[in-house]
This record gives sequence, C-alpha cells and structure tokens, in this order.
Amino acid sequence: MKFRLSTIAALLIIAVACGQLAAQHSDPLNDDGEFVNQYNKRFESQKPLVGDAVLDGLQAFDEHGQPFMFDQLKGKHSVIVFGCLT
Amino acid sequence: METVFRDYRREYGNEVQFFYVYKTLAHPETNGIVPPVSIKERLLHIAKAKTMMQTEMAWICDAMDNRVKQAFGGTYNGEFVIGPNGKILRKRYWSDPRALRKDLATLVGPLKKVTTTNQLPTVFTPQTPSIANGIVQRPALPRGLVALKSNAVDSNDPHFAKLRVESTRAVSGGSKAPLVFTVYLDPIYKVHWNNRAGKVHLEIKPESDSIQIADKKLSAADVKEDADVDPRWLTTSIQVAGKKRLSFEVTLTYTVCDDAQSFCKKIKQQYLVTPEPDRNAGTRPGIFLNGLFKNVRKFDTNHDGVIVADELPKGQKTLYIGHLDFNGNQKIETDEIDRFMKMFNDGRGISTGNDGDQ
Repeated sequence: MKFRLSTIAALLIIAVACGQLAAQHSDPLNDDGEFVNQYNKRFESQKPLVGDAVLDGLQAFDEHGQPFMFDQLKGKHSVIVFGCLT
Repeated sequence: METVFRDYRREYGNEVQFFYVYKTLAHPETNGIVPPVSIKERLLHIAKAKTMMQTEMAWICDAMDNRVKQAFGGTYNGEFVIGPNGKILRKRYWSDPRALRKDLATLVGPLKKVTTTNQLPTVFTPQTPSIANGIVQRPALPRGLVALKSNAVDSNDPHFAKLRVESTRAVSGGSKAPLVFTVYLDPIYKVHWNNRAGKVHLEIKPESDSIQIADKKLSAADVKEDADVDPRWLTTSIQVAGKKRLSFEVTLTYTVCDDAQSFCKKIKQQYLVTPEPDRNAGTRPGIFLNGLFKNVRKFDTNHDGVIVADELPKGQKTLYIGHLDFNGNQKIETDEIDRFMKMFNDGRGISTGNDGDQ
C-alpha cells in the first residue's frame, strides 16, 4: 500500500511537471512574467481593490471633448485600458 | 488589445464595452512627444494615437487633474474589467491581452474565432521630421532628476513649446539642488525653432525670497543651423527655505515657424512651478535606454539576428518582448530594435549618455 501511494504521488508530480512543460512549450512566455507579476501582485493589494465600485460620480471627456460619465458603463461588462502616446 | 476588442465586438456585439483612457504620458520625449497642457491638446493626442495604433476602440480623455488615473490607482498601463454592477472584477498594473482573453472567456463567454495581430492593419510609423534634429548636444544631467509640478498659464497662442522643470528630491529637504529646464517643441503643431530670430530665453520670478534661484535669467546655447526641432536645456540651482508651499513663475520666450512656412511668431508664455515632485509627470526614457534596452542585442547568443524568449534573461522575457516585439511574433528582430531605439532618440538631441536617470 505504501509503495502504491508513493508511486501515485510520483506519477502525479510527473504529470504536473509534464503539463507545465507542455504549457511552456506552447507559450514561451507562460513560465516567465516575473517582472510584470511583481508589479501586478503589488498592485492587487492597492486601492481600488477587486470588488470596489469605481464608476460613481467619476467624470472625464469622450474623444470628441464632450463630458463622459463613467456611471453610464453600468449594465454591461467594461474593459478599461490606460494608455497614451508614450 | 485591438484583437481582443475586435473579437468580442464581432461575437458579442456591445455586451462588453472596451475603452482606452488617455492619461498623462508615461515616458515623455518618446518619439519627441511632450505632455499636453490642455484638454484640447489631449484630444489631438487621442486623434494621433487612433491613427498610429489603427485602433477602432473608443477613447476616454482624462481631465487635466488626472482624476481618472488616480481613481484607478495611478497606473500608467493598467487594465480593468468592470462588472455590470460597476465593481472591479479584474485588475492589472500592466495590460495583458492574453490574460484578458482568459478573463473574458470566463466572465462573458468563449470565442469561436481568435484574431491575431498580424491580421490587423499595419500600425502607422511616425515619420522623422524633415527639419534638422539630433544636432543639439544634450548636457550631462544630474542623476536622480524628478519632474516638479508645473502648470502652463493660459495663453492666446498654442503652447508650441512645452516646459519640463526638474530637480532632485533634495529640493524638498531644503538643500541646494540643481534646477533643469527642458524646452520641447510639440510635434503636434509641426513647428521648428527659428534660430536666426534668437535663442530660447527663460526668466524666473520666485514668489518670495524663501526660494533662492542662482540665475534668474537663462538663455539656451547657440545653434548654428537656421532651424531645428531639438529640445533646449537650461540649468541653474534652487534652494527652498521653510516648509510653506511656494511657487515660482517662469516666463518662456521663443520664436517658431511652422514647417509649411506660413508663419513665424515670437511667443511669450508663463508657467507656475511648485518645487514638489509631480507623480503624474512620467519618466523620461533615458532610464530605459541606459538601464534596460541599450544592450539588448547582446542577448542574441546564436547571432542569427533574432532574439527568442529562450535567449532572454529569466524574469525579463515579458519585459523585452512586450516592449520590442512590434509584429507580435514573440521574437525580437533587428529592425524592431532599431525602431525602438529610434522612437526614444528622435527629437531628443544628442545624448551624452547621462540623461538625468533616477
């Protein structure tokens, strides 16, 4: 029984390792990302947090210079990406 | 990001909305681009970005007080998925379209077909200005420069030239510190310096004697060419006594002509500067050139002219490929390195290798 458990454990480890290797092979960046992950991990614990409401009362401009209320995004999923020319 | 947007628009219509938020520049000077001083100028940048990126995504323009950037945690390249109830479902400091695809597959639904970046229209590459550039020597700048809070005073003329004011953190502690003024032409206006009409001048007026400026009148160095588009650097020193928040006024005088030769104009404009670090001013790209990307070619260990992920240092593959892989094939080719370096050098004058990096 002891032998069978250790064999199963070893097979599981090999299976997980093979899975990781396969993932790495199909996507060369999957085993990496430490640089980005460091920032993302630190950012996770900073406000606003996942679950926080961020849209209420926030106002800026649309690309034509007209007022844009973030509340209007409610009711659908929204993806917001920050960018600029540099 | 554009591929994710187009795929979800095609398969899910407006069930999920995509927006870019235009906010302060992360790395002013890149491609010679300098920070806008008004919403009108930010909108011009958005129009240019839409052309350069060939994007069909909608843009939101942050207010000049950068309230949207701050409300979302001050990120420069962040990415958020917001639920229909207005609450954050996912957040990243750095946008990651591959991770976003996984998020949306869970939150919205899977895709039948995935677009790749090479199926998108060619991204526009900015042209090098026809007026002389790369002729003015950038002085060796003190290390550890940070931008100070600076606001352009309203003017009847566009801010053809923009002022960036920098010092070291010593300025906040009351010590004597360098004070560096960089005057950039804004490429949005397609103008050049008219050097025959005189040099760029600065006159500094402190609010009180608590701000000591070594030289209150500064002139940029002579340039032999009749016209050019390089920045101008003017330096002095500053010492601030006491903890009261004070400011100084800078009057900038310069003469520009438009590239179409339809006008030349002498301009006088004011800026109000507070000797405190500005967290929204971004960092000049010198830190990238000197610290990270200058020697990227050395990673091509088999000398085949292509850098693949396995040749890059562990933990920095995303960094290099994310910045340099313009065609999205997860490899870095020689022409991509050349293009990247050009982006950071155009409109910057001649660097001496010390660009005030932190």
